[in-house]
Amino acid sequence: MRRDGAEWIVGRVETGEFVSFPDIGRRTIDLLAGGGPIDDVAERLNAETGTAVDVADFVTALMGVGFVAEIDGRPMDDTRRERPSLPWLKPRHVRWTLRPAVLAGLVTIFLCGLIALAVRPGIMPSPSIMAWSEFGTVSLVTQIAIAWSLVMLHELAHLCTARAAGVPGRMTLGSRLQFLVVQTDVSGVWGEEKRVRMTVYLAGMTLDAAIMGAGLVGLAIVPPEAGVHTALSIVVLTQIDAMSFQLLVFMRTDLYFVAQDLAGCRNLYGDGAAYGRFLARRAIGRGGVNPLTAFSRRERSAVRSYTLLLVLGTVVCLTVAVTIVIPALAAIALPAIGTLLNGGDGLAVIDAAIVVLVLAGVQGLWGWAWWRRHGPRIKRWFTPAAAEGTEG
Amino acid sequence: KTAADGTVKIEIRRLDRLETTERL
Repeated sequence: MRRDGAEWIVGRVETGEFVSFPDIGRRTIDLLAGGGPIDDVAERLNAETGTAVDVADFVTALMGVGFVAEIDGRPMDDTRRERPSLPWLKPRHVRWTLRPAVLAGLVTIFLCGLIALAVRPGIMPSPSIMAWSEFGTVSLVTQIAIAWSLVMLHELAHLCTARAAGVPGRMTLGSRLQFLVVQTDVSGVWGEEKRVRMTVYLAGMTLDAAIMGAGLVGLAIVPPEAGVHTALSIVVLTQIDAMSFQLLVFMRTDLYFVAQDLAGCRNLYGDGAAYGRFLARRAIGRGGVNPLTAFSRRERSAVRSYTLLLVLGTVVCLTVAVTIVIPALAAIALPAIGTLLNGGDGLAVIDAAIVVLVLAGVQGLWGWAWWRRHGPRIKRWFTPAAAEGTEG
Repeated sequence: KTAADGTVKIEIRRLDRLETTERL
């Protein structure tokens, strides 16, 4: 539990469920923790504040987020707790990751890379290096191996810094619009001080920048004809691509969490989406209650700005997917499928099989992650209609 | 915040899940 402006932030580190409420909520929780009946707590609050507080309603809301262990001796269901990733990794193993000296070291490596690039601009690798092999699939598989290794390091940085603060952290596959992502749920850091929160949010990007910096220094030292030069080039380009992705804050990237925290918002994406739906309903004359009415002026302004970014970013991203990405995937996949169906020489068939396997694998994982995130909501949309159809 | 019967309801806001991410 910690104070944040005029409110208290309270939650369960082990489930990542956190809420905010005003001072009266904090006092109510203190009284409830004393074990007294709800009616007694309400009377006590009335005596202290002169206000009739609906304590039962408050308890019900707390039950909804899994904060109530038992009522009248009857235990509540607690199904929200999920197994953390790398449970053997204890806070004492990774406490060093929160030290300022570690951050200073990583930033220094990044700056060394920038200096190397400034002194010798020619070391910046060309994108064509990605197709370094005469065999396309060899280039593709090499790139996947390097990129996925770097992604795991990025997420491990988040997990380790969160674990250092005593937050479990859980790594899973997820989706952001048309992208397949690895995500680490570090919601427990809501309860930590600002320096720790920022360190956890930015741990992945800081490590990305340091690896890129080290890669640039390596490119300045290693002869261009050496094989390791190609690997370093792919690493540098992959990290530039990874860091640029984080700028797309409309799809809840690492920088989104930084912006949300600095703006003092509680759920920038959720509130932005709700405000966008409100504006859409108002545009077609259906009105409704403005979801930002109860917000502070500062938070209202932040959510409005984010809503604009959310709508524009999503439209642009999906437009790129439909007009460029899907046709490009089809252009790669269809000839490969044709080769598999019609046959050909051995190398061509192997090449086609790897292409189809990679594309189908990535798209299949994306579909699975997307359905896991959005499937329950889509099922709810269709359930009432199905019920009506049965009754009719 | 205030119900029709005059009792004050404590407003609770659920916070965003902090899911740091990297694109695969």
